[in-house]
Amino acid sequence: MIPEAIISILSFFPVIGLAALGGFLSQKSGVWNLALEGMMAFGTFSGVFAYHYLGQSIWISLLFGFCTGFLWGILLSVLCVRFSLDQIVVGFGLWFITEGMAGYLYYTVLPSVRITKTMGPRILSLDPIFYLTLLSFALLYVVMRYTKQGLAVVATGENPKAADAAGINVHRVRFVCTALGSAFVGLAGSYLSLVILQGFTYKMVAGYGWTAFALILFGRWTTPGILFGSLFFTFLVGIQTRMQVAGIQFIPPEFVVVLPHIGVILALSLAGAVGKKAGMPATLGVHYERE
Amino acid sequence: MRESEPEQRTWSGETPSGTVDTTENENILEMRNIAKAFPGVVANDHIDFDLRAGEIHSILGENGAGKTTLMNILYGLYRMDEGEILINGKQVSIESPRDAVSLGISMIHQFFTLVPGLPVIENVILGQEPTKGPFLDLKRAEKEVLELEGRFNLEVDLQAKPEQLTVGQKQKVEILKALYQGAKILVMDEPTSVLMPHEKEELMKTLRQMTAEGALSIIFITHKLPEAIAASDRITILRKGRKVDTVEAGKVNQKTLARKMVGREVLFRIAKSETEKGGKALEVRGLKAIDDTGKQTLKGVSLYVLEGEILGIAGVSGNGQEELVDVIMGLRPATAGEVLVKGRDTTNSSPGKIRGLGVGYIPEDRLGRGILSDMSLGENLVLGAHKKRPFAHRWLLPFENRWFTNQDQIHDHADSLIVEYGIDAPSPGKRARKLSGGNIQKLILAREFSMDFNILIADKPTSGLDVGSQEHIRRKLLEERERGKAILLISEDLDEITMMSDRIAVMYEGRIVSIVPVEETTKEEIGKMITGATRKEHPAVA
Repeated sequence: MIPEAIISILSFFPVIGLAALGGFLSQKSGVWNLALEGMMAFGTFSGVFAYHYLGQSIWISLLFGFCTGFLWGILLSVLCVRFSLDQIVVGFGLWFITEGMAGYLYYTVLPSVRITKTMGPRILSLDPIFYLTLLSFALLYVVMRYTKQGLAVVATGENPKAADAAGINVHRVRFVCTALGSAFVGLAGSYLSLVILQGFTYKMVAGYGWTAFALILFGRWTTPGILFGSLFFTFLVGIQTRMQVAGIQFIPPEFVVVLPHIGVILALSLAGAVGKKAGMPATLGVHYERE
Repeated sequence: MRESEPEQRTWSGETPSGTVDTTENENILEMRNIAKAFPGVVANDHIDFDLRAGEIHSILGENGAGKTTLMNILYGLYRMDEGEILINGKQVSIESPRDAVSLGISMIHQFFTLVPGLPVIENVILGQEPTKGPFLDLKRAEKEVLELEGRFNLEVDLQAKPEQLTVGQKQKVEILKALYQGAKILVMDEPTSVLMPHEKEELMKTLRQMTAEGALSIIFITHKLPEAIAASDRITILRKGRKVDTVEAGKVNQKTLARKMVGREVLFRIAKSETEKGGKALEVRGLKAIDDTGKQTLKGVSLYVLEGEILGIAGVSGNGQEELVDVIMGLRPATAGEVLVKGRDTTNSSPGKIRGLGVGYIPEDRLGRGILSDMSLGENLVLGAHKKRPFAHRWLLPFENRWFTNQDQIHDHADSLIVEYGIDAPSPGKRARKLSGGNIQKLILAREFSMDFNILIADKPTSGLDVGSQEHIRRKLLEERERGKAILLISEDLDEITMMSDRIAVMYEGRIVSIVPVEETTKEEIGKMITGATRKEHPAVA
């Protein structure tokens, strides 16, 4: 049997893994999704919302979070891919809107919700979403490498002109990748509120969205790299939680909370020192339009 | 002299297999009455064009004549305002590259469109991937592509990434891509402009092979006369958006083609007058430097340029010319030796200080070093003088804000230079990146010449330009020489070097192997020396 400590550490993995995966998908096609943090925040709210109003099913609530992420992703693609607005401005705007709306809606339309149900069935004490996340990583890896759809995504991110000339619909690829990626981000948020923390508090995402964003850079835009980064960060969060639980006195608790983030910054600096922007899709953030 | 010689098909070294002159040949493509206007410019003014099966048809014209626009319409990148396109006699509508590809039209752009990071094989099959279930069938793809490679001498390592390939190899990948897409009509936009001489020969062979079977026809966009004559069966000449003529390549010479293309007589060889030589304006002694990879590429170069003189540096690119120019301009540190501008030591000074002493610079990398492509034509024309009156107000830079700058002065300055240098631009506010290559070079020339220099470093000033622009720029350089300016001319074009220079310095592997007065040598002799085959000792080298 796997020790209980490791399991409690690993159970956090879907939150960070799914968010990083979603951001990765849209970046690979050439679109920055800078609203990861906000879309996750909205996911935390919509999960709890669906739990309260749609029959207290964790599965349905997670699906609901996935769908709201998808809708925000559609908005992002309409603005950035269809209407060629600046991806950075739109990304930040969406971050503020989604995060603010999540808090506002929770305190106006919902009573205080406690999640009482847990997910099953469990394999080795880990819930299905954990395995689904791992499966998504594997699936994305195969799709990117061995299918024509994956080839189209890579070509669109690296050289949309070439993709267009080869008959690939650049805007459609970016639209689909951004919307689907955002859906994963929403799912990550819902998982955080429904399964990990079993309730909603304002700003409960606490920078995990930005961490996921950083992990895409850390993983050099490769699926295995991002998987490794996500597991590494999950591990740091786990240690932090255990330190808090153990009630270690000689380190201030505020410092313990920021430990994982310091770890990410160190890892990023290290990764940056080795190879700078290697692996970054060449036209990331650049709108494509035929002349 | 060249223009008096009977025209030869010298460019590929052999005459093409035969000129197609039968009119029974079916037109596989007809473009009728094509018109396209952009704001301020009529790019295509009712052009007719047709293509026969199995022929190579050149579209010849100066920069900005509308060649590329016409082909972008055919390829679905632009929408035409008027006109119709017929393929095999049937009218078609082409609204995207996807439509074009499905009609058997492929286009290879001047700047290649390969996807970095993807191996050659995946680049070739992009958009036409063979699949087995949900997955790519790379085995089948490899077999098919290897077969194409063998058939047309297009050997490229299928697992290599584009960034590991030479320019010639990248072009092969582009051709493979077109063939794999099942192209019947292949459009090539200035395909030779990036190639080395031996690669051009190879390309020509491949093109002949591909059309020999009659299944593929090629449209060859170019502004180079010898190429058009050597490469094609027929030539259509465009000038300022209009079709001038379509001629059989075997029945024309460069002189008549040039007249049709430019609209006036073009002098390939400009006579130069005697000038009074002054003192040493620029001198370098024992100059050494390393290149970007840390290799010593400049191994002790000594030379000088007199006032009223053009010193030509002949040599194949990559023999240290780039480093020499960089060091003179202060853009690369010298590891040994010295640079003297009018007797003052400027070794390893800043570029600003060196320019301040009256050294003008026409860089080889026009877009990278010559202009700021996102700024306007007018702003580019004052670069370098932008901190001085009348363009700036006191200590404020001129670009930020209308209140503190002399936009009017900048505009007036630009207007007068646009007229004087024949820059083809609708207004000084036009973004520099929107200009054609020839016009960008005229812009740089206008800027440098308006800044009152005594010494000019001209690094391949006419490479890649059409004959009209080349002639214009050469004339301007000779005029400045007559005014007593000292010019250092770097060029790979031996005709240009022997025509323009007073003395010729031959550079080989980081050294000057010989410096000779132009009267005492021939083009052939220089041609041998630049390959390192012979060297001619001359007192000037000491």
